Amino acid sequence: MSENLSRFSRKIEDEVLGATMTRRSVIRKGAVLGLSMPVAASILAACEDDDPDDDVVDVDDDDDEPAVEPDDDDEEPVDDDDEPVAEEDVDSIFGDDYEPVGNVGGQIVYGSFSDAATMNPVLSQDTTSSGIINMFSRALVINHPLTTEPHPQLAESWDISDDGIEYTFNLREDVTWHDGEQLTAQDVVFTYETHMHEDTGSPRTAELTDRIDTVEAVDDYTVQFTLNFPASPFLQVNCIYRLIPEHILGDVEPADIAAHDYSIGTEGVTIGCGPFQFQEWVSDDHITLVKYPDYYEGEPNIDQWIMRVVPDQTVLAQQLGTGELDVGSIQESDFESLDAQEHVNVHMYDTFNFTFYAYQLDEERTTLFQEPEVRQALLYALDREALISAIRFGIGEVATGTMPVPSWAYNPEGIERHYDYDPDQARELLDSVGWVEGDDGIRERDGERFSFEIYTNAGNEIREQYVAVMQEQWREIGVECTPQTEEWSAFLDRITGTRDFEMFLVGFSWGVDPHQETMWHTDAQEGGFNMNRYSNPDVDDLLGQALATTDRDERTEIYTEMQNIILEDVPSAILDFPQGIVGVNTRVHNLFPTDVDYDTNSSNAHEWWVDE
Amino acid sequence: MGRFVLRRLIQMIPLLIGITIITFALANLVPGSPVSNLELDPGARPEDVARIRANLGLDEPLHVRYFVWASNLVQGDFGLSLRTHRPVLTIILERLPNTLLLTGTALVLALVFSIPVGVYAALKRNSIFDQFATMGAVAGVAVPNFWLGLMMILVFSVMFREWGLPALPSGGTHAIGTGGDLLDRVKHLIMPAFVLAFSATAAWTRYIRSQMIEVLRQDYMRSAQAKGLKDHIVTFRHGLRNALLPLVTLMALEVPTLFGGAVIVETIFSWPGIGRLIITAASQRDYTVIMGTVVIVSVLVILANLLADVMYAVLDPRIRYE
Repeated sequence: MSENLSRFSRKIEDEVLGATMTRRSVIRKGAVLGLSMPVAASILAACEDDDPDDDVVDVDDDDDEPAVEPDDDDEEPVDDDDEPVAEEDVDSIFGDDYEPVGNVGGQIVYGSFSDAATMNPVLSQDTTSSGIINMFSRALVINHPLTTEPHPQLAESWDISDDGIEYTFNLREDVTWHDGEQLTAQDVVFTYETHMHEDTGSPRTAELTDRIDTVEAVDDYTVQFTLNFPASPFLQVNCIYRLIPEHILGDVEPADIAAHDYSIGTEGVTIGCGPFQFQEWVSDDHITLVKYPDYYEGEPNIDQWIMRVVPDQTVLAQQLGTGELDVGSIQESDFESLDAQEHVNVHMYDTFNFTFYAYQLDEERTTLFQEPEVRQALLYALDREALISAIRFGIGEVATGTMPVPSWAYNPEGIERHYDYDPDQARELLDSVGWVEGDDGIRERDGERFSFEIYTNAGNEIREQYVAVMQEQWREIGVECTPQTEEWSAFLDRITGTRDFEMFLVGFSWGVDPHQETMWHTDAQEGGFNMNRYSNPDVDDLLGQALATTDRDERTEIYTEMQNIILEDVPSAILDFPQGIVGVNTRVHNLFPTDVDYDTNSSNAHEWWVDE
Repeated sequence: MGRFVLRRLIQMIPLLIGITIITFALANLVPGSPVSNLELDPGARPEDVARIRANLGLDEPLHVRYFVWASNLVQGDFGLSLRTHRPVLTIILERLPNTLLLTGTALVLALVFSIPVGVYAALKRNSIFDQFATMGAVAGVAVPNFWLGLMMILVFSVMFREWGLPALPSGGTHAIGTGGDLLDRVKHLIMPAFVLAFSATAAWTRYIRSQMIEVLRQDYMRSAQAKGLKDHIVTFRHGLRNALLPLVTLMALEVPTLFGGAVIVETIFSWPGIGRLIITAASQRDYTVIMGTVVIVSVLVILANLLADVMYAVLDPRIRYE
């Protein structure tokens, strides 16, 4: 783990230094591209509703933690060896990076651009709500913020039967709800039954009802799930749900839970078993949590934690600068000015996010992208280095394969075809399939012009700039592309509902597990995210193999092979892997942003402390 | 007069019905729904999305939903937010004071600045002052709210702090963690109110100036002067009063503009008001909140117009309402 950590911090240093170095070249490259740095545009866009929570699509994941697809067999189906070791000294999840407590008391103010929707973990569908809920509530298991493996939280240990059907969890016996009541196995049963009840409004009802046959309290501190069939993602996807107290919600009609005082945030009613307890929610303004002294991992160091809603991202970055906020995620464009502030540490970390554009492969919509040569040509024609340095200020990486950088299946060495910027090759490829330049400089074939529209969501300045530059670069190889922007919900409806597009560009987020079935498998054309109707039996086969393989190295190989096929076919082109950027005031200690538990990793929130 | 007001109040009813029908139809016919984001959540299966939709009552035909909503409204029930499940009326009433405080302060600020400047510029036509005032007014109309807001934050919050000067807070209605005493709240109010007042001030200054110039040319002004009245009496009692009359209408018309401006200003200054509520509700397709705010804001705007008409009659004895 310490190895992992040093890899991480080195990575962060590299990226920070790298980004500041490349910043100077940004303007130059921008000028080459014919880009004027759209300062006004970025300010304007910042005023619009530009909520990344809303418009980064979580491909694989639920509201909580990144998901694992039904193949994840990294876990031996036996007792996990990750149990916390009873040691005298502090056993922080962040190991060597843990800083001994230098001060007790004080508060941390966290800035968020959107407000929460609910305080009920069963109902939460958005990252802001889940991020706050994770501060005051706890789950059986969490995904480790650094290794992304399952890690005990309320369950001290667990046992999975050899056939993968029975999951038995042994709960800690020292856990109390914020009103002093003991947490028992009955609360676990209640939480999952609430999830599975049709009237509650949980977005997980169908999946859980499908997977779980029964959930029972064997005794006060043992709970047993019996599944309908072996579903290896169960542990890392479904056992990370936060618990709700039966003694508060047990008598409430499931249909009334959403509007219950517990869900809308009420002091003394909205209780969890985490290090902080709910105190106040002034909507669109702030949410206050105060420490819970009897927290089972020890009394938290800070007195209170406040989430403050700052809807404008530029202002959010400025407030980190003025010290009005202690912690907050910022955009690439604000990196430089914030990094110049001595009292702010800017953390950068690799994420599971990616930007991609999809070719419409449904012949009934367009026949332009039927040949792989055409799809390859368009990707060769894009100078992605320049895109990232000009638009993302160099913060992010050109995607080599389809695997995100932090994934254990990330294997750039195994990727055969690299799409380095090569407009000549692009032209050759287009010539080879009969698309030749017409009188107006746009390629034609059989009287058809190579002209299409690309959709992206309005208000996301980065994507808007991406499509604008792509238009320029494709123009150079004689391809006409017209950018269209659309309001987020309408755009979603277009790409997932009506599928009325020739091409679209959007950002997604993979789950922690590398099983990218939802985008590449033929079955994912309906109900999944294969929105452009890609189908390749070889890819389907490989995905099937990966499902049945438990060994990580073998799986990595299979996924590498799959990526090589996809990179030949290029049904969708993954352009880049952006990085997360979180500003943390230097007075805050032991807070380590990563991409696993939202941006601030509240799993060790009791260890956070602030200077006097 | 009483009958006039009553008639106008009764006229509000069909107007409101029209407004709500149009808004309801528009809000619902736009693509997307409160469950749009769930459609992209692989953990949520299509049957979950369908069930949650049905639980929210979104499966009913549009006209049925409208009548359900309208009949509840008549009984004073604005419904629950589709996103937070809190009562819409509670949500609105939490925000309304913030917005009224902000727009009210902006209105007062705009009047306090625009009247003296406009009048003085008119009296000293073509003087240096007049030219500066005109230039300032043009600039004021041209400067967008969001830009001015960001610049003010940059100067008065960020730079002032760096220079060790007393900085203004860059957002919120009061310091979090404290109740917020009067001074603290005033500090928080200064920048957003100023930004919101800025373009109105500019527009009104120009308007008052030209009105005043118009009035100064009138015969009655000359007769007043000929009567031997003192200059300031002529200017203020005869001139200003006549010049300001149309301003009453202008102010009433300005109310919706201020609400519109509040959308941007509230976003920049993290001000939890109605403007932001509308924006968030619209982007999340929280239909009940959209409808609730539309009703409340429409009523406010209609009442402001009514008030303007009444004021007009009070200020101008020539006007009589039957």
